[in-house]
Amino acid sequence: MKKITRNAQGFFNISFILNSKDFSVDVSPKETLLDLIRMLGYKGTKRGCDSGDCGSCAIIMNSVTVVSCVLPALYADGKEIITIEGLGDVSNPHPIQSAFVEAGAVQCGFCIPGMIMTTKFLLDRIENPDEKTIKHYLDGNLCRCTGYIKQVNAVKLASSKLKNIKNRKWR
Amino acid sequence: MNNLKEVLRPKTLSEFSKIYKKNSYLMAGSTYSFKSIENNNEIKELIIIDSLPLKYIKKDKNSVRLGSLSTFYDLENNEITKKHFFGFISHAASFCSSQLIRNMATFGGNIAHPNAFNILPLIVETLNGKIKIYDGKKYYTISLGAYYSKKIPGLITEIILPLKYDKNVFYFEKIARTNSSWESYITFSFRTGLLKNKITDLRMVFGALTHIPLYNAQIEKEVIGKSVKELDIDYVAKRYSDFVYSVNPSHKYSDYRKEVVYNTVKEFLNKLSKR
Amino acid sequence: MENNNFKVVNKRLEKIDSLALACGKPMFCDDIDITAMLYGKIMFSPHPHALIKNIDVSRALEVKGVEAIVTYKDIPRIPHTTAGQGYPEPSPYDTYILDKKVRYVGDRVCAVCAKTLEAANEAISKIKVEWEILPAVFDPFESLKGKVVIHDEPDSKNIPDARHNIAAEVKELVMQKKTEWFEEADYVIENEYTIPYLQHCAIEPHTTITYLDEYGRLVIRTSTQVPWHVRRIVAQTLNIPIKKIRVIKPRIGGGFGSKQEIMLEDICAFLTLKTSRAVKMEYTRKDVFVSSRTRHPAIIKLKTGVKKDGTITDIDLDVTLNAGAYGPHALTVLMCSGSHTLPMYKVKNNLKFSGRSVYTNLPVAGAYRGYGATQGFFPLESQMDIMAEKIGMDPVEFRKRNYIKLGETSPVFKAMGEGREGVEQSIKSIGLIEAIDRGLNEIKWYEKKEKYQKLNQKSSIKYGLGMACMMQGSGIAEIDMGSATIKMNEDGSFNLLIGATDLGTGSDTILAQIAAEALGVELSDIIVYSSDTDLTPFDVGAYASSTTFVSGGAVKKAADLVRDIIIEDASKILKEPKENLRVENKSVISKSGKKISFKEIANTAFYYHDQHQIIASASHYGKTSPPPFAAHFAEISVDTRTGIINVLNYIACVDCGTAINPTLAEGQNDGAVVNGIGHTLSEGFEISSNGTVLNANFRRYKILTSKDITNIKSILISTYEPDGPYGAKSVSEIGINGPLPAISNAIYNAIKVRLTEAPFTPDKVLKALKKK
Repeated sequence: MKKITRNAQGFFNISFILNSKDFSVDVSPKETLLDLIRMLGYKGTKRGCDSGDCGSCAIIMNSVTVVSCVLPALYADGKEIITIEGLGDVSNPHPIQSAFVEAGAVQCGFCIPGMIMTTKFLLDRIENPDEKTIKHYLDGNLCRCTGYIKQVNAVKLASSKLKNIKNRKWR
Repeated sequence: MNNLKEVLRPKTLSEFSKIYKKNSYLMAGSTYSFKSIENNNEIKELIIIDSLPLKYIKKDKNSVRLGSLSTFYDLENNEITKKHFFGFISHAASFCSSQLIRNMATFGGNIAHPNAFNILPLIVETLNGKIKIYDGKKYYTISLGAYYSKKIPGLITEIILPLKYDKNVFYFEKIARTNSSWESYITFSFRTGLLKNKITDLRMVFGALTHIPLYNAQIEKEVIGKSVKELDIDYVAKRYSDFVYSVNPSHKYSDYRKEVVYNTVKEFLNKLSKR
Repeated sequence: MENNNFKVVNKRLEKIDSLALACGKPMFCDDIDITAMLYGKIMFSPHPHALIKNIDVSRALEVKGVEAIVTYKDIPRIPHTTAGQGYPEPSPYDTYILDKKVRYVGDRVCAVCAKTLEAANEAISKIKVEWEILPAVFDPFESLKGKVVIHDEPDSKNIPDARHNIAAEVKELVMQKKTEWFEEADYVIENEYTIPYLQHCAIEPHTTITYLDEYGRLVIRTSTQVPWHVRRIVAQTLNIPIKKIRVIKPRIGGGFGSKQEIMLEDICAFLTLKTSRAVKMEYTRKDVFVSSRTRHPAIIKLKTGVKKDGTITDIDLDVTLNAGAYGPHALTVLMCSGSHTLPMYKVKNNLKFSGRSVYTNLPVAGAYRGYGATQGFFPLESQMDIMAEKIGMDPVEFRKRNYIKLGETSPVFKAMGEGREGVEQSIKSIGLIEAIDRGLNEIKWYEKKEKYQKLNQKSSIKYGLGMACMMQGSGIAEIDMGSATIKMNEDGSFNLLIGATDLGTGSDTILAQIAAEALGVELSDIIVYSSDTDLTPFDVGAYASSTTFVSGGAVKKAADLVRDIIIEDASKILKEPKENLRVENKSVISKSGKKISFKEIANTAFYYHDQHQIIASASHYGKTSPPPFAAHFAEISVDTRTGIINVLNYIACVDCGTAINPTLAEGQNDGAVVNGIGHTLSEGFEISSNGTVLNANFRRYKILTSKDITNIKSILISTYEPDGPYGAKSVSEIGINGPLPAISNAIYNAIKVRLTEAPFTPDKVLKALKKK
């Protein structure tokens, strides 16, 4: 059983892996995981509503995409977390990131990191999702700019990019 | 949570039993928990139960057993829940709020924190399911109604859903303004046993009316045993619509609910009679 | 001029910031960390109308970490408007940074700044206010009676009639009168339409960070659509010279009009001046719903007359807007409900507009995509169908014969501008008929209508089709101005410095495309920097659909000037007359075959000979505001069991002239349409009997998710607008005006019930069906 006791300064020391790096951090009990991630410098994860309803704070925790604004920072102890920065960078973007760019699905971009983390969750599980499935999986990521139309196209494009990469690996 | 002193994460039920006290605060998926206790300064100890071996969906001879840490995503996509009860559990689970919440919200939490829009209680009630609770010393197996009325403290470990209803007819619909919605006007969760046009069993549960699901045993008793072709469907539909209306006549949507219940029950029974 | 000769314009190029945004780069207002920054929080009023008799902050000041608390006693009392509009703003000066009076639940009471957010919140909970509760009024018509006066302060200005709570009004504006009213009409149709409180729901909440730089200048880094208006109004309200202020706009997470406003900048700046520290203020989602801005709720009375032969004889449009507790944009939204709608219709005899924006003790309405046209087209385009049915004419034919055509004008253009008299203009580009025909074809209008007429007879799910046409504007003629500076680098690339504000719309990209086209280079050769009041030239900001048309005009002018300098330089180097030379592919090419690269010209200019920086600036304002046009087609189903409406297909054909970037233009239109469908089916504030917004969160104020959209398609109809850069008009607002009337018409087609109260929620549909 893991037990964490509050130290004299009033913090809980937690350890976790974030974007493949080891972290050991002091957190306060009221801090959310979103607060912690942004405080550590990972600004790609956004705060849109602080109630888990808009999806802009979505991150991948132990392979599942979740909303980080409703989780206490304490919850991250012992977990493996990936944020948008962990997927790819401008010099070497992840195929999902490229797909969103090519499909014209990025307008203001605020909802996009969360939308991409959810897309990764979907495409890790279903190789060639149909439109209905895509819309079902994306329904927790709110967007006011695009109407979701080009974003659904982006997910389809991402799915075919990933399939090509997978096929290439076998050759 | 200013006075929180310890965070514990038991890995086995035996570790859990050593630390659990009657007023311990348990956190599983945290879709509800954290935001609701953020400003609670009484809590000194938090038990995060997400490492307990309760994330399973399995089947034995008589029942489907859902471990309480299963998420709505698990319930929606698992082979057992998709196959049994004609996919009723999987279908119902897909109506929970939104994907990211479905990924995190555990069904145990959905039962432990009653809310008008919770979906798991509807599933349990419709299937006459039993809830298993562990208070650190003993296991209790009780019905949902008993759980809500007796308010037994403890960890919900699993739900047992009887397979005897496996071949029943199911109907689940959430009426809301949009397709993806946390709230709803009213939610229907129906189960009928049908044998050569005779209604052998009936459970018609209504959600979103009060914080716990409602059904009317009296009306069900009157209908069970009858042939669906001889049933006065209009009468039954009207009985149900009056029943739902009477739950909260001054509610903003009471008239709407009355009308929708009448239309829906009528259509449901009509469809049954055409099978 | 041909569209197909473009090299960069009208091409589907990737938005220049897309990749960085997709990789989560820190680009938004809140994405920076400043050492020793303080957190600011506003205490909001729990009462709809009250006076502060006494405010005691002593216990709050004792909270550990609190640095400052400011009340109305600490701030100069300067009446102003928060509306981000050009000076002099056509909105009443009825707001004070902090006042002794609160006028709605959610109004500012006082502000705190502290070392942590938690300390700030704790401090707010310890502030003791002694209130004198005043009676409140929530209904505009009730408010007009004047029993409760919301703005009784003597120092507010430009309120037409404070005693009757009138924030703006247009008294009977008769724009055409040839006969007695409705004299020649065979049928007169009169209806009332309502639109509730609606919120923009930009996913990024309002965020502002202010700090003092090394020279003691105030720097405001803020999520805004109007940097220059922010600078001017902060200078005005805090009594500091404009030269002491710099406003920087980083990437913004959407605005849609909610950020065309001075929202947090004034109070945040004041806290920075008071503490000499950096201060950050960020609205919570609830604050955005309640205490930022909304669409003006509207009650519209429309009376139209029609003849059996299909002529519209009279239009009498009367609009009542609920302004909320203050009046930003109250006059201009009111006027646009007429000026951006009525010109589309040919009226034979009489045309009149009247209206008023009324103060109530409710959240404050302001600018929101559509800006009055949304409120105007709901009744007008619904009534087009009603009139067509009355005279037994096909609604498509009825529309085609009654809409304005190329070369025509309307008395409305001159009579109604935005806040003042308008500018006379005639239509120089219009693709409305093509848009209609294309949409009819895409949605298989006639085929489906026939099919559904038969199907509906036996099905409990009824199907229907409806259409609506609309227009908007492109900037405010003679008022909106933008400018651009372009300077050349020695590798043949250019810096494009523009005031124009990109709120995610992609204006940085399309303005760069315009510059690249004029200069004969690629998009990647243009480095864009925008919206910094110190480093980029003036621009009114992103509103009124002005960026492509007005700011684009400035960019084209500046690019042309720079091109002329390059050619002049090349002419001297190549020793060829200028007339022989043109720019192409990053070079200057002569008719004679001689060629010189931009790189060489720039290096010569920097280092070798007759040294100068190749640079030019230009400004532009529109002498006209050429309207984009659109035709929308909705195919819906109505479940008569539950009242639920499903939009099965929605085709939005839009004529925006030349689409500088078709992908971005489609994206804008998609978003506007889906937002409009949300207005139609599920959005709206629920307000308690004491003026509290009950659904101020995303769970209960339902905007559409990916699961709610079916087949929605934007189709660009190409025309060429001679007044616009490379033939472009605007595109970003118009799409939101279509869904309300198109879906209302489709519902009527399906179940013969006319819904006039938005949103058309299932309970309303079922109730209307029952009444039939």
